Amino acid sequence: MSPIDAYLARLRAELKGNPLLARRVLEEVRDHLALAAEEERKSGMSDHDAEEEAVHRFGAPDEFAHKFDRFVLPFRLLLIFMSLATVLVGLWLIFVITVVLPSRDPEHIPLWRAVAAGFFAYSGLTWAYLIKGPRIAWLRWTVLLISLVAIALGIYGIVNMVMVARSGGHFEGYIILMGLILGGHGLTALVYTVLTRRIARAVRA
Amino acid sequence: MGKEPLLSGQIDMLLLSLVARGPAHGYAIIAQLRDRSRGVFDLPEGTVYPALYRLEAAGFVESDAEQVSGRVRRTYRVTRAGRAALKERETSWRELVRGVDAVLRGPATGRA
Repeated sequence: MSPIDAYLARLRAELKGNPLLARRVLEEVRDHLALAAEEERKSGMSDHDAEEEAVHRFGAPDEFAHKFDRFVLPFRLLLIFMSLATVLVGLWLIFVITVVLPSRDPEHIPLWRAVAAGFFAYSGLTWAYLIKGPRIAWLRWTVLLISLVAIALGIYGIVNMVMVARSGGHFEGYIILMGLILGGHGLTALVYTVLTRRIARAVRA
Repeated sequence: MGKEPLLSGQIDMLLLSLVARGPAHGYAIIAQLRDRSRGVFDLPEGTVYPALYRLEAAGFVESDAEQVSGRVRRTYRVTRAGRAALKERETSWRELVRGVDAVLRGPATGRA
């Protein structure tokens, strides 16, 4: 095993609790070490010595691995996942509105249309927030506010359905699922915002 | 005194300043830091990445990955918020330097 491969294996072990972070870091470190070794080779070193020197210049893998914030990237990906789930719920509602409700419950179609539109809008805003990062204040505050509402609505939907089921009413599992996705989306966005703002404050300080 | 503890609070500002001069990948950024500081900041090269990830999480830089020679290379560029944060940090840094300098160079006022 070459010194660079051995180093990357040690680094992979140090980052093993966080595969999402590990993947990106390892790709970037591999490129960095290859460039550093290339530079050393140009100065006359053998391949092996050049890689040894590149690894030495980079620093110890355990110290390096522990300097990363381990939470932001996983929460970013979780937020992408939750926002896709929110879109899926919106699409499912469109299907229900178009196929099921006209014959069974036509008077509630406007309400469910509004709910579906809300799901799409929330997902769209979350995507904009993820793409533009946490640096646009109005977008951040809008997503934060909607997320708080989403958490409240999610909890309300779940609790309400549990109470209805307990009192002998008709249990509708999709309400629980919608509550979980909405509440989970809101909670993830909230945690992601708190983490990124904490980092931004530390950088500015 | 080791340079790393002294630098730990300033690394973000220095990296932001380097990225603000033009898009660059991590290896080029650490090389610029070493060259521009004339070797004063000759840090372990890995130091740059956790700081770049912090800046990206804060929304001060953004990055793109591309394939180069079969490897993934990530290039960082400053955002508008990053430029604003840099300006803020630069102002407070210059004030600090002016203040320290004034104290160090000021006339002796000690009592006998």
